[in-house]
This record gives sequence, C-alpha cells and structure tokens, in this order.
Amino acid sequence: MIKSTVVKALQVMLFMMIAMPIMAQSNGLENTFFESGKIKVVMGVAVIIFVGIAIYLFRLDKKISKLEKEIHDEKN
Amino acid sequence: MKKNWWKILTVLMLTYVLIATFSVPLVPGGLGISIAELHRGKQTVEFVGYNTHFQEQAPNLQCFVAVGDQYLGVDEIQIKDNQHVQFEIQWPDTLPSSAIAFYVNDEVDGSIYVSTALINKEIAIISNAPLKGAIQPNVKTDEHQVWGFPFQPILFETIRNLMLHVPMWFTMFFLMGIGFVASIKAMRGNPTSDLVAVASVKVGLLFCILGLITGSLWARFTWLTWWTKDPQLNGALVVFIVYAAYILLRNSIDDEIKRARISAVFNIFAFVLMIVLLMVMPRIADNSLHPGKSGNPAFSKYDLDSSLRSVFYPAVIGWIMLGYWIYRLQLKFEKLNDKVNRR
Repeated sequence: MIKSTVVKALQVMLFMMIAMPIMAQSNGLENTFFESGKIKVVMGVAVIIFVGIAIYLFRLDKKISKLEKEIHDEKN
Repeated sequence: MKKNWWKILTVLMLTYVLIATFSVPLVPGGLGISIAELHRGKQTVEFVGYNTHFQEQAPNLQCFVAVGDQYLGVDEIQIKDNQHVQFEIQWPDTLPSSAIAFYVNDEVDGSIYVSTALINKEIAIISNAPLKGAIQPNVKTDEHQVWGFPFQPILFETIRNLMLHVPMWFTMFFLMGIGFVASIKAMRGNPTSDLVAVASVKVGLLFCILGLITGSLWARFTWLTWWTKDPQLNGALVVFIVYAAYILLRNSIDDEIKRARISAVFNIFAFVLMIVLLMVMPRIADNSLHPGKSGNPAFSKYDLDSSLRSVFYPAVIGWIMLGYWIYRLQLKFEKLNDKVNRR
C-alpha cells in the first residue's frame, strides 16, 4: 500500500516531466502563460498544490476508513 | 471545539493568505518595449506599462532614456491608453554605454522603466564619453503612489508564488524535523516514535513533490527552462530520492525492532544531508538562480517588502500548520496499520 504511493508519485512526476515540455512546445500554451503578466503561472501553481493535497487526503481517508472497518469487523 | 482551535486557526490563516495572494494588485511597472534592435538616427518606440495610469496622468507624463548614468530626451510622445505610450528617439552618433533603459514618469506611477539588452550593430559605444544632447530630467517623484506587491522584471505576477511555492519547502523542513526528532527517540527504543517518523516523512515527501513541481512550472516561465543546474534544484531532487529510499528501506524490513533501528539511523542521516544540500550548499555555490542565495541571507530587505511580508509570514505559518494537520492524519493511519499488522 505504501509502496504503491511512492510508485504513484513517481508516475505523476514522470508524466509531468514528459508531458509538460510537449504541451509547452505548441506556441499557444507559451502565449497563454506569458500574457497578462504571467498570472496563469500562479494559477497553475495553486491548482497543482490543491489537487496534490486533495488527492493525498482522499487516498489517506480511504485507507483509514478501510482499516477502521477491518478493526470494527474483527471485533464483531 | 476547544481542542480543535488550531485547526480553525489554520483554515482562517490560509483563507486570509489565499485571498491576499490573489487580490492584492501589483504596483505599476514597465512590461516591455516594441524594439529589439538599435538603429542609427530616429527610432519609434512603444512602451508597454503594467497597472499604469498613462492616460489619467497625461499632463504630468514624462519619457526619457537612460544611457549609462546620463539621460536622453524623446519627442512626439503619443499616449494610446493607460498602458501604452509611444515616443521617438533621436540617437546621437556615439553612445557612452550600452546599458540603455527606457523611462516613463508620472505622479501616480513614479519612475517606471524597461531595461532590456538591445542588439546594437550600428551605433558605436565609446565608454565614458559625454552623451551628445544629454538632458537632466526634472521629475516630481520616483516613488509610485499605489499600494501593492512589488513589480519585478521577468517575475511580474508570479511574485505571488512566494506565498505558494516557498512555504512548501518550509513545511517540508518542519515535517522532516519532526521525523528527525522522532528517529532519535526511536534509536533509544521508543516504539511509537518509528511510526511518528514514517508519518512525518511521508507528508514531508508530499510537500517536497509539490515544491518540485510548482518550482519547475515557475522556472519554465521565468528562467525559461523546466530544470537547471541550480544547486538548490538538484539538492532538492537528491533529498526527494533519499527520503523515498527511506520509505522503501523501511518497507523492506519485516522484523519490527530491526526496522525501527535501521530506518531511524537512515532518517537521521537523511535529515543531516537535507540541511547540507538545501541550507548550506546553495549559500556556498555561486551559480544559484534563487534569490538571496550565493552568500546572501535568504531574506534580504531588497527581496521582501512590507506588503509581501504581511502575507508571506502568515503563509509560512498557515502551510506549516496544514502540513502538521495532514501529518496527524497520516500518523492515525500508521497507528491503525500497526495495530492491524500486530494481530
């Protein structure tokens, strides 16, 4: 379970490393991010942080409830 | 309710930080100019401002060009709107310096400038010679009259990332610090300390990953590359790998006592390595792109002004508290997991 978290994290990082330069090669994205004083970079950063924390908490919550259920079931 | 006061405080602080991060305006500044090359004789230049008030300040507007430490006047100033002004420059035959900056001044925006490296194949540079037709600009004030985050060339709006990207690393340091203390306790035989260490390192790794990805995105649009040889960047990546190795190492040992001991030793070394790589090395190395590095203190008064401080300090505290909150949840999971595995 813990191993899979690390593997997932590595997968996400690998995806970012491969996908983002490809996305940026099209001039469209470049212009989108540079226009209006680069405010979209800040939004991108905020979205990355919130999605990252949300996914982490969601998975953690699922794992905790699973264990709690296991303990509860064993008691009965 | 009384027990959870710090959770409410965390939510309040981060709410304040996020609202302030996205709503405080940037002070006026120079975004760019329309030319990339110097030409002999007359040249028309359009100056693009950011959050400026050219139209409103039309009677007070002055434009001039700085060449080294001397100034040239301009002709035919045409204000197009609040952000755009166009003027003509008559270049002399020789210039005393290749450091050229285009200035616009009015009473609200103060003195704003664009200083870019211009390609110059036509005008000879004779160092320290007097500038032909030099003027002494007579400006009322250099200071802008608007409140907001400082305008920095290249960074522009991304200066707001100070409240998002930078606290990720503070939070990681804090969590790895918890892990370090717990590992010392685990070495002395405290059984729950091993769980505390692994929980804090896992959440610390989350913030490390977020810091790396957000930093990479920020770098792409300011340093124009996803990754550079900056000692801070490579150090952070090594720290990530070392802590990921800690998780893998801990998972690979079945014997409980052995696992606690060996992973505690590894974690103590990992923390020392992190301090060396992220706190010491960037200050020694002289090729860091990060502000305040290369021998300077990280928080020089030139990097942070009062408007940034009033949001940045709550941001650091708020994100650290959120990290601590997530760590408590992770610790709950580790304890439950331990309990289930013991049966």
